[in-house]
Amino acid sequence: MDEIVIKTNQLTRCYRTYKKETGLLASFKSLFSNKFEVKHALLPIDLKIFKGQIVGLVGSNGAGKTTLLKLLSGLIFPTEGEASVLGYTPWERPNAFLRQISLLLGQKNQLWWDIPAKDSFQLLITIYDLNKTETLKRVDNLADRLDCRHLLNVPLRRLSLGERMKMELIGSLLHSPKILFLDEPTIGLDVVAQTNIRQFILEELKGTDVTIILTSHYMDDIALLADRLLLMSHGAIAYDGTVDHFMSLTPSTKRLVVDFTNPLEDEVMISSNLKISRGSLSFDRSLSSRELFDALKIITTQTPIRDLKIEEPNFEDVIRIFLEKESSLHKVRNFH
Amino acid sequence: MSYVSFLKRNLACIKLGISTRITYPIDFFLAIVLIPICFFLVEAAFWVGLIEASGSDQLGGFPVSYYLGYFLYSILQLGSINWRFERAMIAEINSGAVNALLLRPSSFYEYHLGQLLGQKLITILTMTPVVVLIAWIWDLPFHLDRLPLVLMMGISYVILLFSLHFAVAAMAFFFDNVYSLNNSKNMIIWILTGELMPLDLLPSPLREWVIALPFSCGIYLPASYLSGRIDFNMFMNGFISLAIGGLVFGLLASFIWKRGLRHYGGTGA
Repeated sequence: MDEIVIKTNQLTRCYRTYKKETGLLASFKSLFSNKFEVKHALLPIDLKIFKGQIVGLVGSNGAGKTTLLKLLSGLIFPTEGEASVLGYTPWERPNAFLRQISLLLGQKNQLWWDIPAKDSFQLLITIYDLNKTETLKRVDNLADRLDCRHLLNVPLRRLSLGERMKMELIGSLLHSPKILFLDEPTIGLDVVAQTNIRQFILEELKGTDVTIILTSHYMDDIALLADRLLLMSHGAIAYDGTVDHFMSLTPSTKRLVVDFTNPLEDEVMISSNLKISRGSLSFDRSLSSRELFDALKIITTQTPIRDLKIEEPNFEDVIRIFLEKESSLHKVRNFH
Repeated sequence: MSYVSFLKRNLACIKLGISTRITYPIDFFLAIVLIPICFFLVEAAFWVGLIEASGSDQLGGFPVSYYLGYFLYSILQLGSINWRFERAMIAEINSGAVNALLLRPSSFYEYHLGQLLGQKLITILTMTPVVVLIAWIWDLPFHLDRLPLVLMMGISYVILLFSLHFAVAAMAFFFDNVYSLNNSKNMIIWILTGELMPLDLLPSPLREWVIALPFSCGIYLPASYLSGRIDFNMFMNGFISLAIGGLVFGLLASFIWKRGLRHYGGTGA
């Protein structure tokens, strides 16, 4: 039976924020009274995560994924509920727990800015009480894998974003954590750097005993790395399952992209609710199988075509459609 | 084993403080040479002018050389009380840079205290010859044999002051901006330590009360003892108030920190 490493019971987090109206007068008013409101960042969540899983946390901004990550890593206290991570209550942050986890924040430096990464690693060796010789060997190994060994002695502030992220990744793995929280590890990186980081995680960590909780706005990260997808919307888990299963749940649509040789002379009716306007030079739409069949039949016989493509829906499109649907359902629920 | 780890960790933080302090050589050089000289010249101009204007060769029973000595030795202590340091702690909490430290098996307190002590150590080691040289050139009263005890008080005071800085910085968990609170605290300390003027110039009974507070161990007691302005017993009383003050501020810092963490929203993550 798979070992459960993370378990939550009705885990909830609310934030109290204040609202200030715009304008100078409102600023003066706010000196004496502020309007506070409670925001439910995370609705009660029950969750079990198993050893060695890579869990992709996906959702739009404010969906609650980072809040969940912060709660599980012990950075913040919950408003209500319980959580057990490796048998510990994370927000109590005992050293024995902290030695077994690592949090990598794509938008924040965690190594020291003014000193070379290798000096930072030496400090981490002391903080985590690691064997110096073995760990430095591990640093060299990881640096070789990430092709950045030549940068180990350069002060962090002199490195590019991609190079810094490589160093941060090494720093987060030095103490061989059992759980790795990765918050947007590829954010802001160019395509090559993103691929390098992704490939490194895939080859070095996937399939091992390390449990990874990964948030990312790049769906390629999730599609390639995650064994399990947790889709969050408005503080709740809207989907929990595999990426493949998620894709199979969505209605089968394909994207039809057509470029016409000349602007259309007349409007083309494909169905009662689908038409191509007069003067159009191109057509680009996701269509159901039936609509696609009709569209192809009409477009190919009636109009001069320069190029035609039929694309399978990608993960990102499906996620976007799902989240848009969830968002509109949420609005309807709130309205009632 | 955990005690050894604790010591090793703190030593590493001290080393980090030293290495970050000397990373920028020009800034470091200016801090240990130019700033003390400028500070001393400003104080010298003020106190020499004041005593001359009073029409006497003494003020409060002490000649001008005692005042020059007092402010010269205060430089040693001021070099350690880096005001930017606590601003950095506040900024770390405001920006969420504290997150990385919260999730490592060390504490925010020991991490920053270690660095502050490291910075103090390297500053004192390099600044002392400059101070001794100035004292020799100006022929100021200077009791070299008292230096070890004075430095010990200096280090103890830094720990006490750090706890207070830490408590104020931890208020950043509750409020978005605590810089005014921090500045107010620094203004009060500026007076209570004797940085503004020797505390024995204050009117009685305020003088006795202020000297009894642990803040007098910041400048007044060490600088006065080194320049021969006060005796051994009065100086040693400072260690008692330091111990009491350290306990009070330590408990205060711990209380605010723990409450603050419950309030914290994990900014920036």
